[in-house]
Order: sequence, then C-alpha cells, then structure tokens
Amino acid sequence: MHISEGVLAPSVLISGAAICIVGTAIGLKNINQDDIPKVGVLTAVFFVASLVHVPLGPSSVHLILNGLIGLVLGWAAFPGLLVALFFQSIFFQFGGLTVLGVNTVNMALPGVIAYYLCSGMVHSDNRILNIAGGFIAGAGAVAGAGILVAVSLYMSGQAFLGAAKTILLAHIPVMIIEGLVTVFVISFVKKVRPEILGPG
Amino acid sequence: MLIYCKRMIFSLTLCAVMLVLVPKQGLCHRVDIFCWVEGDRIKCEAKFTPGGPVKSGQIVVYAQQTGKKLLTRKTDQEGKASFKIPDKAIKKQWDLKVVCNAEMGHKNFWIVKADELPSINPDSSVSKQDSSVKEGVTDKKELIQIFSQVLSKQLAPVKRDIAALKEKRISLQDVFGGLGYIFGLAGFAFYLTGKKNRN
Repeated sequence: MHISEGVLAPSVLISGAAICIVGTAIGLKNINQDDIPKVGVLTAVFFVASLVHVPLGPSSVHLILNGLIGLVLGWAAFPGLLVALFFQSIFFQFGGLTVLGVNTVNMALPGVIAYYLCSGMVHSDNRILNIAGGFIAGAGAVAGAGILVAVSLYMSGQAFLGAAKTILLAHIPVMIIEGLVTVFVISFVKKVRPEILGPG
Repeated sequence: MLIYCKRMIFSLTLCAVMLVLVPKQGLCHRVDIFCWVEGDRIKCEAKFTPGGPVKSGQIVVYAQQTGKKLLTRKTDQEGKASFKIPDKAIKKQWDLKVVCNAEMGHKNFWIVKADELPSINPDSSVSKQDSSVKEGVTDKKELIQIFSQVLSKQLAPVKRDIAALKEKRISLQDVFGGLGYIFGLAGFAFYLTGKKNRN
C-alpha cells in the first residue's frame, strides 16, 4: 500500500505531510521512557513485516500490521510508522520521500482510530470482546488504510470507486490474516504482559 | 533497570518469533520496469519486486528531452509489452522514458538512451526477395542490414539479462541496516528522555 513517487498531486502531498506532522507531534508528546522499547520494537516489526508478501491475483499484497501497532501504541503509531516508512523508502525504495507524509497518514491514522474504537474491548475481561476487538482492529485498520489510499488517489485525479474496490478486494485475505494475527498477539500479550497494552 | 531488561528481552523474542514466521521468499513490493532494444522494437517487462508480473499495467512512453507523450501500451498477462521505436525518436536522437503505472499507486520508469536506439532503422521487410539483386553480388547495405538483424536477435537475451541485473534487489544487509537504525533511534530516544528525567 505504499504509494510511489510522482503519483499524487502536490496539494495531496502537502496536506498529507501537514497531517503527518500534527499526528507525530501528538504521538511524541505522549511518549515517556517506559514506552520507548515497545515503540522501537513495533517500528522494527512493521519495517520487517511489510516484507511478508502474499501473492494474489494481478499483484501481491503485504502484511501491514497498522491495527496491532495502533492498538498498542495509540498516537505513538505516527512517529513509529513515520520512522519505519522513512527507512523503507531509503533502503527498499518502497513509497518515496515526498509521499512519506501521505503514506504515514494512510497507515497510522486507521491505527489510531482502531485504538480509540477497540482499546476498550481489548481491555475488558470478557474473552469474546477481546477477540472481537483484536479482530476488528486488525482487519479494520487494513480496510481503513485501503480507503485512505483510494482517497489519496482520488484527490489526485483517479476514479475513487474503482481504485477503492481494487484495493479492498485485493486486501481481503490480508484483512483476515491480520485480524487473526492481532487477536493472537493481543491475547498472548494480555496473558503474559498486560501492562504493554497501556492504561485501560 | 532489571524490569526494562526483562521487557526488552521479551519484546525482542516476540520480534524474533515474527521474523521466523516470515516466509523465505517473502518480500514486499515496488514496481520495477526494464526495457531493451530488439531490432526495431523496444521490449519491456514490468514486475513487482518481487511478487510477479504487472498484468494489464499501463505503459506510457515519453520523449525525455521534450516531455512529449509518444505512445501508450498495456502489459500482457506476463507483464511484457513491446512497441516499435518511433521514427521521430531515432531521427531526433531522443532518450525515451518508459513509465509503468501499475495499480494501487505504484509507478516506476526506465530510460532507453538515444545511443541504444538503432541508427539505421532495420527494415524487416528488406529485399531478401528483391529480384533485382543478382546472385553472388551482395549489396553492402544489405549485408549490414542482415548482420544487424542477426546480431539483434542474438543480443536480445543478453540485453534482457543486463537490464534485469540493473534491478535493485532487496538484500539482508538492507533489512539489518534499517533495523539497526531503528533500534539506534530508540536508544537515542531513551537517552533524551532519561536526560529530561534527571533534569
């Protein structure tokens, strides 16, 4: 879901960068020393996990993990994903430097939304709510990212419905896999180290 | 301090477990396109790196010097496309910029330099059957044309391989380099917040 250089209109790039700066500032303000290990590790996980590709139909899709990252980090997902995407563009040429802001917003914002929607479910004592919350966060964040990518392309002149349909259809397997991965990781973490999930 | 170490070790184990689950061939994607000259045509191959060919991707060819759009094509199911070199490009010695637009916002390009283009446009319908040429008397121009055709046929796979070699692959060094930077930044952030606490 990394958008390449030279695809989007300059206005989209600038607004994306602006939203990214705001999000990153909010994220950095809320970080304290206790959080740094988990931000670092999740950034590293995103950096590497984007390399997992699922060959599918006309192209290939990859694990995004923005749901899990958003759920665990909250607003700190912005600086984490910004750093990871920056290094991905430098080392792997995924995305690009001018599109960095837009790509960060597309992936981090759904994560933050997942945090607000699902963190209550995940922190509750009800097992079923935990599983539901984890799955919705994982799958929903991927869908959200797909929709935001389609919006970015639309604002640069491409047909929205067509792009959105292509992206969402292509990512349905990823949504399911990510929902499951999020559920497993969250339940494991809850059992072993619930404080990682942060205050309820 | 001990708690931080324990947390770090736990988090790193989690990370390592996830890394182990990464399939060996699993790598993400950008679009790569490479082109080479074969006779009077340019052949292109577009694929995701790695992840397979770009099917029905849009190919647009621009003249690098003027920015003018020359032609468009679509890639087939194997990600291949080809087009005849525009005569204008040969005459005016233009570099050709071949841009591939794959879906979902992926885009990349390849430049075919003017000196790769044939200087005489080899005409494949050349007069092998020209009855005005006598047996045993071979026109020098014809000889050159025949040689060019044979050469371009032989060289096509070589050029294709060279173009493929130029492709930037993702290496393990890149992965570890990125991871190193990330953990370094985390360490630096530790230092900064620690300083704040002490002050």
